[in-house]
Amino acid sequence: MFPVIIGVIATGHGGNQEWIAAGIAFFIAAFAVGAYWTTRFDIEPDHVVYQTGWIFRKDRRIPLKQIQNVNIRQNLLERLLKVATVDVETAMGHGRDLKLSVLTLPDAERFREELLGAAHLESGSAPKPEEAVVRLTNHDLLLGALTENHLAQSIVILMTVGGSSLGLAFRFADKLSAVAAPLVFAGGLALLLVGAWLWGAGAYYLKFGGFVVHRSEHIFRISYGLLNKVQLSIRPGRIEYVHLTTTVLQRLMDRTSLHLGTAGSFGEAGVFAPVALFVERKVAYDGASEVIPGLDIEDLNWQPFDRIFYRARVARSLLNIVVLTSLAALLNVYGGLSLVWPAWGFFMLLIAIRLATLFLAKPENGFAVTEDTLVVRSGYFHQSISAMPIIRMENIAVRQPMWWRRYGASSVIAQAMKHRIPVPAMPDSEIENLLSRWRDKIDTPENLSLYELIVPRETIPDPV
Amino acid sequence: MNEIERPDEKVLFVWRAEVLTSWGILTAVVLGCAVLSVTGAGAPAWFYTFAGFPLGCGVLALFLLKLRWERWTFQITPHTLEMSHGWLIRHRRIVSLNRIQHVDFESGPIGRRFDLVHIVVHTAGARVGTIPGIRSERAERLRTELMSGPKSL
Repeated sequence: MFPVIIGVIATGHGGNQEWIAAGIAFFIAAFAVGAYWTTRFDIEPDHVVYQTGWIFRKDRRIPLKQIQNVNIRQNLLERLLKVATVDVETAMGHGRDLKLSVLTLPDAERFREELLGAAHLESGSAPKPEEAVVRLTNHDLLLGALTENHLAQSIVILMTVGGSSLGLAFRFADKLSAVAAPLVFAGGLALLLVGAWLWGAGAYYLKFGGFVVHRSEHIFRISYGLLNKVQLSIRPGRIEYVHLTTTVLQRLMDRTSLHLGTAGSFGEAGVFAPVALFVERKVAYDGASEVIPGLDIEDLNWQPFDRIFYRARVARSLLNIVVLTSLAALLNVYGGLSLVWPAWGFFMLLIAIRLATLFLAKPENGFAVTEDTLVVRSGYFHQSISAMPIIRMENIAVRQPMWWRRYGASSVIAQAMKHRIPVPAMPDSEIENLLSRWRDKIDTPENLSLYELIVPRETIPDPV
Repeated sequence: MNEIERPDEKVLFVWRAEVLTSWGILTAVVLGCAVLSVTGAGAPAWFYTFAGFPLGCGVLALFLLKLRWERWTFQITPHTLEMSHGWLIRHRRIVSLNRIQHVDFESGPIGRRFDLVHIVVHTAGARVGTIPGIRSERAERLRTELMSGPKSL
């Protein structure tokens, strides 16, 4: 509505435009009011009911058993207006299966309580009072923000601000002396990188400010955000993925972050809930073993990725070098552009950094298959440990290029309902080991009941 | 445990048709240029070098389809559906039967001529795989087997 009005004002004195705009605005407003008056939601003994629509009615019922997460969100505008949006997620749909906008915050919280409470009663026990288990102090938040990995932001800054200032720099370079020019250039670059890093840290600070995790018997409740406030609820019984990340600086400080993925936390493009940020490594490990019983990360039998993984990576880098060099030479012969070789150097630097990272990470890279869990550790500057209970796996994909056959290794991706865990090169004997453990578990009554809990069998559509 | 099965051999016609349509446009362009060059308004020599390469790939792909068919196998075991295919890069995918949510049939005009359907298997998380070229009568039975879940506990 606003863009239309602004558009009309901006385009000036056209004859009927104001009336047309007013008409459109009126209709939009009328529809909004209509939508407001016709939207209803209610919690019934075993369903949550949501009805909306004025001309086309929609009636949606979600069995309480299927509800995975209930999240409350507030963006900046909503915070100013003191209202909130409630998202109800199930395993069947795609992210937000039910979205209730413009509730007052107390109403939203009451609704969530009722919804989760009703869902709890299904499982036959009442929730206990909650206690805060993790609270991020301001000092830790600041340190965490500074030591996180902000490479993505740095690259964006380099590509946008960096590119245009490079053009400027070249214009002024010949006015400076031969000694001063590289110094000024290097100084500018350093300033840009530091700025990018601080920008990333600031974004992290705003995103995770006020980070608190409450825990009761049935629920993890996570809330954070200085500008956009997010409240996430996770049921521990639905967790299918555990992810720990540590940057180099954090490793020196013995700190790490723990994220959990549930079957329903999708629709959020790779965001799964953080439950502990910048905590001591021991605390994060304990947290991981609490949600996946029997997982002791410090006492795992790590096995390295097969050597073909490193050889393949090196071969790919060499191929890239050959292709880029011949491309640069070709451009130099035909175009004679002055920027070809600096650009070539930049890409060579990137390849060198990637290779160096690969070999720095090599001693710690590896995987472990325990009785119930698959764990993978990889990365150096941003090391991650991912774990998935074998019983949660839905399918396993094995990929073996022809030239890997004589190494007897393949790459494996194990996928649960929403999260996947890749092992880049695993010896075939270990794959068989993993598969046999998985086969033993998939049809145990425990797994079947787990699955019924997530997606009740009666909701699966019959073949037509 | 069911025995190891493979797609119907007639699926090769479907695959060939797919390759031919994807390369057909390019072939038409190259032929057009060749005709022009005969009439005098020739395309430059580099054009044929670049156009010849994908054309060659297309012809090669036609011959490789047989190999692709030979390598495509699938099997329903008591707990899982196992699919395996690929020659240059070997793919294996094992799906838990009790996690299969729905099974779709897809068939194009050429597939329908030979009474063939592609079977697309979905779990709650993802589209996990497509078994190509199954006779529709076998496909119906296969769908029932896949949807009825694990055979024994």
